[in-house]
Amino acid sequence: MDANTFSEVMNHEYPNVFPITQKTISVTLQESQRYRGSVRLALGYIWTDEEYNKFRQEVESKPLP
Amino acid sequence: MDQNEIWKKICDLYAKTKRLTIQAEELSLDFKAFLQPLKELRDAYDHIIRAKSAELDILKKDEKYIITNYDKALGHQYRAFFDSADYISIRIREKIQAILEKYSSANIQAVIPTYYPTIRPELEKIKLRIAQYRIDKDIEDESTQDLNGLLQISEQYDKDVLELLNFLKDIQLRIPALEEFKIKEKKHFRLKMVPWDLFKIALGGAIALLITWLFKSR
Repeated sequence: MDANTFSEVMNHEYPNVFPITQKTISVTLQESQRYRGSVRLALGYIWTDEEYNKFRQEVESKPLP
Repeated sequence: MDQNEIWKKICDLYAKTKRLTIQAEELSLDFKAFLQPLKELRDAYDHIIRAKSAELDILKKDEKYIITNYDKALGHQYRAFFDSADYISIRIREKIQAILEKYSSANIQAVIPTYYPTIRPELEKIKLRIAQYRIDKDIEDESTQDLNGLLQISEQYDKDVLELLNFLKDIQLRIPALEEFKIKEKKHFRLKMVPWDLFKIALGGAIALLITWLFKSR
């Protein structure tokens, strides 16, 4: 890779995939056939931001025995 | 900050984050992936490559650029650690709740004598401390960019997570004893109910006799 392209690539930010929503999961499921990688991701087993915050609130609000 | 100093912190935080991520995976029975720390690790790696490229003269940048990028990498590494610590602490609390909610207070008291006087109050204190770490982290993160402040918070947070893990292990080891006590409790309850059951049978019989007698006497 020549110096200019390298510099250009390094100065670019990664695409932002956050926050993770149900739409992110739908797209992941849709595109998973085309890529090899994590089985969990391919099956859509991912915490969405909303799910995680809800889960966290539920656990925190539940009193310990 | 000296480059070697930054590298030591990055390595230390990376190892802690990795340990917490692996432990959290073991606790998660729903097999869901928690991607937030991975995003921070990706960003940290990006900054490390930028700095290293400048060091090797592949990128024509000055010394300040190198230090700034290592600092940013360290900042992302801290965030990865905080996300992982937050996730595992919630998972541990959920697990403790799930184990103990199946047993009576008397059972827990008998099998884990330290639960009510020590473990439970400590769990509540850790919960409050974690909430404070989250607030402090956000303040450090957004206003001062003081990495030393983040270092202190992360060290305390790590200690608390390890303590939570120890409590969970302790409780998990007592599950057979809790089950045994539960069976004994059931037996004891049945024995206690025998006189009451006999009384109910006798009362039913008496009522039946009374009704029969009333019908016959007409």
